[in-house]
Amino acid sequence: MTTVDSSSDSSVTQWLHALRSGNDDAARQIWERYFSRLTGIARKYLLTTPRRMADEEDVVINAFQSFFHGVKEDHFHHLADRQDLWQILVMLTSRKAIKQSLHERRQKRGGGHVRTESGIPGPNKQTPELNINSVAGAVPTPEFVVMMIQQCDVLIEHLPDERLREIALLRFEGFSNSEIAERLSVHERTIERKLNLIRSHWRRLLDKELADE
Amino acid sequence: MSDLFRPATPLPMDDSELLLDHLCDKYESLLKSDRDASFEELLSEIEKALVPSLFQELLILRLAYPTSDGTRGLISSYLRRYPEYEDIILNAYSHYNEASQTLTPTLFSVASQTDDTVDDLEDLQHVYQLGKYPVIGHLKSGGQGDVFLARHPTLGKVVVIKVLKNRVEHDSTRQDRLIREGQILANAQHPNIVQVHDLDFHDGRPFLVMEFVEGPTLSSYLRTQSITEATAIRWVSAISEALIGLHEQHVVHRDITPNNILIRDGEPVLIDFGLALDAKLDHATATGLAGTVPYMAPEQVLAPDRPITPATDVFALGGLLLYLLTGKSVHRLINAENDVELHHVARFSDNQLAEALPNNEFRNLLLNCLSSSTTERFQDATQLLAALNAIKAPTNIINRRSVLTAAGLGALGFTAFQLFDAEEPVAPEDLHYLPPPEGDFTLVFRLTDETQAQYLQSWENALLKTEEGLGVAKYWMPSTANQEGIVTYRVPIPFEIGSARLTVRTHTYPKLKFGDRFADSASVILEASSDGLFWQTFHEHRHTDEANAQNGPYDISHIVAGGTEVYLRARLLTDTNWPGVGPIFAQFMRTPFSEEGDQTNCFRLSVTACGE
Repeated sequence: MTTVDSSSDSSVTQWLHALRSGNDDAARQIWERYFSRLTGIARKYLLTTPRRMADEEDVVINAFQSFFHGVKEDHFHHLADRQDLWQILVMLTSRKAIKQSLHERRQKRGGGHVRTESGIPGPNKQTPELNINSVAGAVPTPEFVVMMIQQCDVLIEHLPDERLREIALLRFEGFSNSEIAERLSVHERTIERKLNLIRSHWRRLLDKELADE
Repeated sequence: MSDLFRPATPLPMDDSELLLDHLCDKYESLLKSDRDASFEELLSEIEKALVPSLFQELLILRLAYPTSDGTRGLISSYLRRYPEYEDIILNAYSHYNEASQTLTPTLFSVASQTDDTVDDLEDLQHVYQLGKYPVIGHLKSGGQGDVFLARHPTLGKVVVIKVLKNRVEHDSTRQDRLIREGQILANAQHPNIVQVHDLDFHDGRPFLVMEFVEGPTLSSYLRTQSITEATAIRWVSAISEALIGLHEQHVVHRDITPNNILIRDGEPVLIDFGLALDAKLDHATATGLAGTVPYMAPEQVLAPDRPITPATDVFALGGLLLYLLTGKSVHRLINAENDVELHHVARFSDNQLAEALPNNEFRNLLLNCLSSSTTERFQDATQLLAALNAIKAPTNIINRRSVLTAAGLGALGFTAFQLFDAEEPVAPEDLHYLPPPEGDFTLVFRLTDETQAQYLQSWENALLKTEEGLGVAKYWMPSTANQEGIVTYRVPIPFEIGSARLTVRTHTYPKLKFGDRFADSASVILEASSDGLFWQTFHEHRHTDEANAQNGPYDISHIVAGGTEVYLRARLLTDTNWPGVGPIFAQFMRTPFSEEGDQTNCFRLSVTACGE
């Protein structure tokens, strides 16, 4: 894939394709478009949906809210970095979404009829790869945001120490490495090091997900 | 929540990576409290495959947190100790911002290049080879050119290369002149100026190969250290002396600033002769302003096409001395709004200087150096040096934030601190929970292992050992350079200082003789700090003044206001050389204070020179 021009040009599937084929520029464009739509949905969702129980302490929701509220164009610069935690989160969530839709299909004993928001018709429906579009696809849905929050909960919880959790959340909130370093009174290198640790761990989770499929 | 999101089998985080991260955290927290630890110890805790990564992370952290003397560890000592990690070491250094600042001080540099020779300059930042020198890393681009860290191809030594902007390939007259200048610079050998090794050309651009001097810049050094007026005079004299030979041959440095002076082993080293060369080039091309404005002489700013003489360096040296004595650059002193404007209106009046400098002899000398007319100034370094030598410099500490300098040691007696008052002693177990007491108070404190570990750790060659619960630091540093002994003690305070008055009393014991050599030259400087980083002097005394003298109380409330702990230390300073014939002991002792009421909680700091 070298050009990005169709109406469904912002799908996670296409983004993953572009990443796999090493087409970084295309991947970045798709990601930015996808993410800016996701931002719109998420902002609306987080504003209008009643918060979960004990929501005052719900760190993930809080982080998401401050991020999606405050997100500005300039945030996309570091979000475009393929190492960014948001990208890993969206990938992992998408995997889960695929799994879930497969699961639903099996529940219906081969019914193959999946709820689609985008209503993409045609033979594509037959492949699991495309089903992702129904949940995480070209038009991001509130369902996907919910999944993302749940996934994020698990990922954060899974980190072995408080410092790492804190840094991951601040990064999700959109703070830069140097801002986080200043806030935690450590050297920026320390933040970079810990983010690498988080990333490599989550990537391993992702690899495992992919291997399980 | 759906179980779908839970990993079926929890995938544990890689233990060895976590361990690496924790070791780095541990090291960073040590560094943040101004301590250090041996790399070997930390490296031994991790599996072999991760040792290089851990080494790299530790080194980066080490470089990020300078020690109290402003240094970050010497590249040469790392290279010697860890030859297998040479790439990591050089990489870390060449990418380290501070390091590049110390090497290429172009903070205020203005070099408005207008001639067309600079238009099509090759972007040098990724060059791998300059002449015969393989490049290790690009350090900095400045108005005058690019600076690199490189390596001598056969000797392996690390060198600094400065590539100038001006191309000279089609101008044999200029080339000849440059080569002549290069010869003069290469022949100038003095411990207080950087050694120039070579002059060569890259793509028609001249470059200078210079000794790699390691150390903080004078300006960053003075952010954390204090010096005496005598030291200020001595440093400016040393640089003047180093310039004598060059001035005699009409080579002018043209850019003497606190950012172009590095402190190596407590001695100033003037670096960066880039402009010295450029000076001659500019005459041919009239390229305009080049230099560092607050230290530029009026003739450099106002008439850049006029010949530059050694008197131009005299102006900068005067500015440097003013900065050392007052912490202010020339334009600050006269409240000039605009650096360049300054030179149009500047008349350095006696009044303005008198306000900043009580010592009249300095004033006369500075008025001469900073005169706007070149003919009224000392004509060169020789004349300036003679005038500096005529000043009998007092050894008062210049009042600014401080730490250490150079010093030997010697005829030092004992100094005792007693944080005191009388009325209501505070029980140590109640620390941190008490409201501030009214008035003065007595502070009770104990030596602990932690406090013992606080001092002298960062001194290379310092041996730290504990004897009978006393902290004893001993170091053997035979050296011909001046050195300084320093001991630090940290005292927790049970409340926020600020509403209470905190005073310190000192006691001086009879001096110890060390031959006869130090009898007249040693001083003890007493300093306090609220964080162990920024120190202020509250008293200084010379040991020959009075034997067995009590001093104080000195109010240190303003120094430590707002904190909850106070750091105290004594620095031992001498203006003469330490001959290196014996060890210096510095120790903390818990000991009765001989004449006041309750003796047991007093603290005595003693410093002893012995040997022979």
